[in-house]
Amino acid sequence: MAKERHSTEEFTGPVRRLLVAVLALFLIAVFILWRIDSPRVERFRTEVTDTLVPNVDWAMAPITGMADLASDFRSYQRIYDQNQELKRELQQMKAWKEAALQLEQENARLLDLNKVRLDPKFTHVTGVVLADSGSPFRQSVLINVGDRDGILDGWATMDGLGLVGRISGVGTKTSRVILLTDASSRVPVTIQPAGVRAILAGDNSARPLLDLVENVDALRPGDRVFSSGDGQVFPADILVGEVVQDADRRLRVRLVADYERLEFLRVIRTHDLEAITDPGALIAPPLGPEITADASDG
Amino acid sequence: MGSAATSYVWGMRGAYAGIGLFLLFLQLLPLETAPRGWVGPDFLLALTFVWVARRPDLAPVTLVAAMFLLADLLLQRPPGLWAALALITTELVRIRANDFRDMIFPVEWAVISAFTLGFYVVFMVVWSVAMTYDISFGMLIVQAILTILAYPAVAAASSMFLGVTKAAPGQTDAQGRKL
Repeated sequence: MAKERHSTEEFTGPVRRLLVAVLALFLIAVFILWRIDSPRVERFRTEVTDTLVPNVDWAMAPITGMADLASDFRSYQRIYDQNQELKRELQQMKAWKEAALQLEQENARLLDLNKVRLDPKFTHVTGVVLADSGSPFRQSVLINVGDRDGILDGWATMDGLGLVGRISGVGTKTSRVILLTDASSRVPVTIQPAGVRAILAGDNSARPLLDLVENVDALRPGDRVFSSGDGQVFPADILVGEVVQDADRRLRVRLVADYERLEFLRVIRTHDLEAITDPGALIAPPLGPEITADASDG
Repeated sequence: MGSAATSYVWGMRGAYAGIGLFLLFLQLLPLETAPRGWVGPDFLLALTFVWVARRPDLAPVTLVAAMFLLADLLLQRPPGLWAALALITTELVRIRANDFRDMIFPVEWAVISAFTLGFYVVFMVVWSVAMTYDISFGMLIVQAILTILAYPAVAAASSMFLGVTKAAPGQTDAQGRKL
């Protein structure tokens, strides 16, 4: 009957079946390899992205530009309200500016008294966002600076206002920034004024969670969150955002960086960071005779 | 006639690759960098299902595998897993391509829906076993449903703009064999 068509044979012939099996096994092997040795496969991924994405930059830029233009145009519709709002804000800002000027002078005097010299290592490289992660499950962006601009894995990235993420994956011309909102992002932070330390854990929502907080009682919504240099994995004292409490009374952080439209990002040059070279191992107490000796003493 | 048909087949394979790359390009545009609480359908999967069910010769297995592996790499998915599942599911559709020719559309849609759901269920099971990073399974289920809903639209667009319809009785391929 119709089942005896030639094409059926073509799609189920032994050579073809072998080809399909080989392809499927290859793909599964890639996945298993990634699971075992993810740094190497991720490096391959970075290279593929680095080769392909900058080539279509010319096509991406105008479309992104058009979209921005459209959203700008929409904002014209409420221009009167904005104008009023800006006037009010300007009034407040003038007061703040006065306060800031006085503080700056005072600060300069104090620095002079203490003979403090600020860390000159903090310089930055600015990059333009080329592409996002392309998936609703990951939060990252690709920027157009990479190895040839001296970018290294682990460097902090901010927009003009606050911390945005961390470099993870550097190609020749591009590098990937894992945003603070990504489910795999963990950044040590300090919360001022209490000086409480915590881990800022992304969970794929706009407001990352504060995890492993030292002292929850010392925190109040509105406290300011800064990055901390704990463990030498991240440069310290970059503004991240402020503490808010969500409906479940969990502490989250409202980020100051403008995540709606990330366009230009600053990569903060930081040397002497702890290099992360392996996927990581279990953290366990050292095994040895001294442990058992301690135990018997106690 | 042979060479014209061959160039048609290769042209359509090129079109499949081109549309796939264009879909990737659209997804990579940095229009929304804040986490969004919604997902769209996986158009590449829907497109591949349509083509494999209707004209399996226009979306050869190697091309499908390459396309999905590239998507995995560019879209920050664990490389290989999504691609392997897509390859296996589309192969299951492909070996039934002859049955699909005798089906009316609602039945075809129902069968494809079953395969799509199977794809997502297996993906979630493997994901839980492999213990990589956390993703929202709720969003994946929404994506599965949207992909199923997108199937008729993708099928209509493929047949209207690219002429990807089920081969008519008596239609022959490049070597003059019956399709």
